[in-house]
Amino acid sequence: MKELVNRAKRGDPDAFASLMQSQMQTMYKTARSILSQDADAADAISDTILSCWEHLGSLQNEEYFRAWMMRILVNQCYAQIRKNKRTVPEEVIPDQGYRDPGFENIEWKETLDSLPEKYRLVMVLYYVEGFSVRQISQILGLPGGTVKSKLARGRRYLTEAFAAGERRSEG
Amino acid sequence: MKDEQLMDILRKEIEIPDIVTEKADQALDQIRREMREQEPMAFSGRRAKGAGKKYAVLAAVAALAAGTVSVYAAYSSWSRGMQEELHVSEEQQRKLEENGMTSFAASAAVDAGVTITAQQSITDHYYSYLAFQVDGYQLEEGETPAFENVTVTVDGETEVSWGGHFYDGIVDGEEGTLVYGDGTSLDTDSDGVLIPRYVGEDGSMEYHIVLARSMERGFFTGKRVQVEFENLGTVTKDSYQPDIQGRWLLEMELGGADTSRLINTKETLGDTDAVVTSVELSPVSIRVLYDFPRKLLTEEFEDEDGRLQSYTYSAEPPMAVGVRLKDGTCLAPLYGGPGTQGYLDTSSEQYVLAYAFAQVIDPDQAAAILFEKLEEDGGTGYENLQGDETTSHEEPDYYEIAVK
Repeated sequence: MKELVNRAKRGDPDAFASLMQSQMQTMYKTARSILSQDADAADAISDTILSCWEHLGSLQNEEYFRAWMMRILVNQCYAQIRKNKRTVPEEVIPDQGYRDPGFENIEWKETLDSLPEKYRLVMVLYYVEGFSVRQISQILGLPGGTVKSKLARGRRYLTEAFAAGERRSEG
Repeated sequence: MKDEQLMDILRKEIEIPDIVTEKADQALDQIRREMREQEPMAFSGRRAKGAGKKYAVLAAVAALAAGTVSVYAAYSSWSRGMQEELHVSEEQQRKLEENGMTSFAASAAVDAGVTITAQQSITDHYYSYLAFQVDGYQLEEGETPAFENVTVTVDGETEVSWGGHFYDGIVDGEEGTLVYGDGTSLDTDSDGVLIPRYVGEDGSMEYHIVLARSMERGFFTGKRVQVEFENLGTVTKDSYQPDIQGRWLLEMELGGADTSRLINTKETLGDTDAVVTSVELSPVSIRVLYDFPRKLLTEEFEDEDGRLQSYTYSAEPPMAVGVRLKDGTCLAPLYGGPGTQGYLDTSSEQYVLAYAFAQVIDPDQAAAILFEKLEEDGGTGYENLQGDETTSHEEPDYYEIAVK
C-alpha cells in the first residue's frame, strides 16, 4: 500500500485507482455505519476519492494514509447528512438504474443496524476495520477517552440486548 | 447472537452495491481524464460542495414574530431524565440545590401545539447540564425524536461547544449493565433491538444539553443561556424526517458554585513519563493537568495485502477514568462528555484532559483518582471483545492518586 500511495502522490492515477479500490470494503462499511442509503454512501465515497486525490500532496507520511483517508470519508458522510437535511424530498423516487445487491448483504445490513446507533461507527472502526483507539481518535477527532467509553458502552449495550433477547425467548 | 458472532458477520467481505462502484469509477475516470488533459487541479471547485452554514441566531423578537408564545411555568422540581441519567440521589439533589450549582428555570414556549419548558441546569466551572421538557408531541413507537436545528447562545456568544440529545430512558446500571431509568431490565423488540423509552409516564419527553468551555474557568457561572429549537420530527440513522414546523425560544439563568476539590500534586503515573500536576474534581466533571513530554511512537500493523506496515502517532498520558470512593466503590468509567484533551499550546509540555461526567459524584467522598493503565496494544482491557465474556465486568488495574 505504501508503494501505491507513493506512486499516487507522484500523480499516477492508475496507482491511485488501485489504492482506492483496495479500500472499497472499508470505505463502504464505514459509510454505511453513518448513512442508511447506499446512494448517499456512494456520493460520500465518490467525494472522498476526489478529495483524497486533490489533497494527497498534503499527506506527509504514507503510513498515515488509511487513517487520513478515513477522516476525509467520515467528514464527507457528515456533509452528506447536512445536505440531506437541507433538501428533504417530499417524495423519494428510487433510482431505477441500479441493481439491488441482493440477499448477500441483507444479513450484514441487519447486523449493522442491530449495533447501538450512538456507538456504531466507533465499534465498526475498532472491531470490524481493526483501527486502534488512537487511530479512531484521530479519524473522528474525539478524545481517546471518548472512543474507549463508546466502545465500552457499545459492548455493554450488546450484552444487555443479548440478555434481553434470552429473557424473551425463555418467556 | 453473541457479540463475537455479530462482529464476524460484519467482518465478512460483502458485495459492494452497483451504485457505489459506478460512482467511484466515475470519480476515478474523472481523475484519469483530467490528468490526460494536463489539468491536475481542474476538478477542484467543479464538484458539488456541501454548504453547511450554520443558521444565524434569531433574536427573541423574531421567535415571537414566528408564532412562538412564551409563557412562564412554575417549575421547581428536578427533571426526571437528569435525575435518572446522572444518578442523582436525594442527598446529592439537596446539596446541589443548597450550593447553587442547580438552578431551576421558569420559562416555557408554545408553538404548533408543542410546549417546551426550560427545567433546570447544573453548572460547574467548565460544564453546564441543561434539561428541557417537551409536551404535546405524539411519538410513534419505534421512532427517535429529533429537532431539526438547535441553537445555543451564552450571553450572546454562539461559539460554545455543546452536545444535545433526547433522553432515551436508558441509563448505566450497577455492575456495568444498562437498565431503564427506573432500574428495570431492558426490553428488546422482535428484531432484538433494545427499546428506548423517550416518553415518560406523563407523556412528556426530555431534551438534554451539556455545554462545555474547558479552557475558561467559571465561564458559565451566572450566565444567561438562550436555546432555540427549530422544527420537531424524527430521525432515522442519518436523515431528519420533518413533522412539526415550529420555533421555541427558551432562556435560563445558570447557577454555578465553587464546589470542586483541587488536588495539587507532582506524582508520576507508574513508569510512564506522565506527571500529574493538578486535578480539579467537581460533582459533574474532572480536569487534569499533566507534565508530559511530547513523544512520537511507532506501531506495526498488517495491511490488506498482509504486508507489515508501521504507524506513527503521538504518545498520550494515561487518562483519568474515574474515582475510588472512601467506601471502596469504584466509579469508572465516568466519562459522559463532552470532553477535550491535548497540549495547552503548540510549544507547551503541559497536557490537559477535561470532561463532563455521566453521573453526579460527591467529591468529598473521593479517596483516589483512577488513571487507566494502557496495555501494549493501546487498549485498556475493558473494551476487549475477543469472545471472553468475563472481561466486561472485570475491574481493570489503575494508577491511583490519593485525594488528600
